[in-house]
Amino acid sequence: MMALACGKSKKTEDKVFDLQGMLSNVAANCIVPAYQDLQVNINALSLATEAFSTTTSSGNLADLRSKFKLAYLSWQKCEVYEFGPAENVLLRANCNIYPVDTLKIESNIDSASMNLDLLNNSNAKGFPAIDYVLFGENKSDADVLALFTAAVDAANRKLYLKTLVSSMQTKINAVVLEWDSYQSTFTGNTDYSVGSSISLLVNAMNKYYEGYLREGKIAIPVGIRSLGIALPKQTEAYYGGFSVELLKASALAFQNLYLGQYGSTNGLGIDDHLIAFDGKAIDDNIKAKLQDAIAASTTLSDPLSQNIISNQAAVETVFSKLQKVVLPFKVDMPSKLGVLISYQDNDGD
Amino acid sequence: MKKHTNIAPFIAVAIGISSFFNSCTKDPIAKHAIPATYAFTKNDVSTVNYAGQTDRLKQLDEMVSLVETASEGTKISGQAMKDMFANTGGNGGGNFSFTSSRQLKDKAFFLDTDWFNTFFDQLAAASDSAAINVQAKNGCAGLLTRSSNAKILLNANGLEFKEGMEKSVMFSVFLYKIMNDYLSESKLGDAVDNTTAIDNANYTSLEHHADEAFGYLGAPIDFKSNYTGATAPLFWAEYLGDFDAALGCADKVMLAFKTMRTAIVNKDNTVKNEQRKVIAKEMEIMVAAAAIHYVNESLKDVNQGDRLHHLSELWGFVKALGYFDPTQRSTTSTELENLLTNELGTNLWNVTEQGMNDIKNFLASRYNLEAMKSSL
Repeated sequence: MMALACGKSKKTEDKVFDLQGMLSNVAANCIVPAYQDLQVNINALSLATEAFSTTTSSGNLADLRSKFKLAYLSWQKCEVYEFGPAENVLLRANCNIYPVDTLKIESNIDSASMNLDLLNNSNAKGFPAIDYVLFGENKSDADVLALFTAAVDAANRKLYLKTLVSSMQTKINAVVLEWDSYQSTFTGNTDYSVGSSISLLVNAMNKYYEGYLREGKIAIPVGIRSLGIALPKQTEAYYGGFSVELLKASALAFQNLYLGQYGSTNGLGIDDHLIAFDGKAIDDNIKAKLQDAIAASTTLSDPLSQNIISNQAAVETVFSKLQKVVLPFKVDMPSKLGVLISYQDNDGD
Repeated sequence: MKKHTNIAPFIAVAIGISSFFNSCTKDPIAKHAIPATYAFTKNDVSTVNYAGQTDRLKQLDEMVSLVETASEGTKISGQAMKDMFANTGGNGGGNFSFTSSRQLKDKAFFLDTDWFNTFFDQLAAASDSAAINVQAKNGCAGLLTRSSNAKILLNANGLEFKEGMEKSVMFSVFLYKIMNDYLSESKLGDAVDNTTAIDNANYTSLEHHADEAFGYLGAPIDFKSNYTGATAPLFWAEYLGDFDAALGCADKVMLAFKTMRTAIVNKDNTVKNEQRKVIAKEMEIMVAAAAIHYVNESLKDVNQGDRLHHLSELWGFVKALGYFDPTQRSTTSTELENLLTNELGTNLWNVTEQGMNDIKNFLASRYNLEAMKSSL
């Protein structure tokens, strides 16, 4: 009758997962191709900048703007990987700090100061600066074109634009190059301790999701951190007006990374790792919450800077859906895998 | 005689089975009880630390004291005020009586920076006027004498500088941080670590954040309703005391903080999250009640100085309502904007009886204070 062994725990089986396989898949099929894509698009942007510089026509401006958007979209797939090679060149800070200080940009153009490495220029460069320079604020296309042709500082403006692009290009090239050799280091480290590949990846993903995806693209602009006062100028691509496209690209890329998915192929990802480590329930939860968040983001419309005012409640809903991913992603998943979340978003007391 | 089936053997078996199952479950870990004061320890060492918050309360206290000297004719330097606000050099540019690594400015709601700068400049200019005894009138900063013969210094719109100084930091720093930072998901949510000791100390992030929220309250650890302790409750705690007779809010808020903190020690997220809401709710009710009180006071005032003093307090409390978490609070930004811009107005000299009654009735209705609105 008392067949059940009372009080004894089930014999723990050794959990098995091909971590190296997962790291290889993620590196080879998610990370490296994303950077290579970015590199291709930034090169195209550079060429378009040259063409526009030589022949400053409305046609070339349109082409330049579209190449810019493509590059910005491909950046969304790379922004999460701020560790290793990207961290070494502070890629994210160099490519995507927004909002930019437009007065500073104008002043830089005016005085032909092109040293983007100055700490003071941290909010006067990258994609957001190009966004401002190419679209201007409340300016017609003709107005913007005139700044590059008729205006007194037109030559400086062109030079600034070229510098913005080439500065990113240099850093992106460096990252792509370093990943060549870093890839084997990354996939070869199958520890779970702080600084191991999976620790870097999981921490980077969490830091990115919270700080850059949730906060940067939605929470801050819609006013979550400013007592409900919407801050339209804090949207990504505020001047070009395609913030929602960038958000969707970013969320989708994040989901694919989690799944180890590339194109239509679903390779080894964190989801598989969770399942192998008895974490299917957590995986199901993360998948569901991510799906919810992505579905919610499709209700948004560009320009987001207007959406957050005309339909603030809808945008706040998207924020709350994004927020729901955090608990399973930041607490349950790392705990199940034995990875420590080692970054503190402390503002000191 | 009916035969009763002897159920005793069944009961015995049932007990036997249930105790069989009981012996398989672990004894529940003993939960900590809610302490009488806000005191929490591990191995007899306190785990509570809100030194940063205490420093900032002290800084405000000294800034307010300095502002008050202006009504006695002392000229105040705008730069000195800014230095104190930013704690330049660690001692407010030499104006604080103590050094600290903390400051008020970088914790203030970031959209208020311009307001503070303007306020300090206005204060400096007004103190110059006060030094030559310029009297305040509509559109002109200067002194007024209250019915108690105390002198107060007002800006051109009738805002008393002392009240402006005190209330602005109370809502832009203390309340803002409690409600939008320390009690928020990012600092007190379930995803925040509650296992690892931080800061080379013996408390977890979750414990520390809860303590930091408490620190901004300004309450002595043994604070409660009908408090007679030696340590003065400061700022928000002081008002909890003031409105405690009407609302019981001192006990309510203290209990909520202690219960929340105990829940954190007990790793009980459910209770923790409940108490976060209780704190926000009871504080908000107190602020609304305080606003109603100051409406009542100003409607009774005959002396202009008294009235503008009470209206300045009112301003502070209506503004404060806007510093609660917008996703939880009971008033919308639009409603608050209406109260401030239309009902109270930006010039306290031009306040109308209608505006006062509108504010009072709106708040009484929204916060279920109808029954006591006349006696607050």
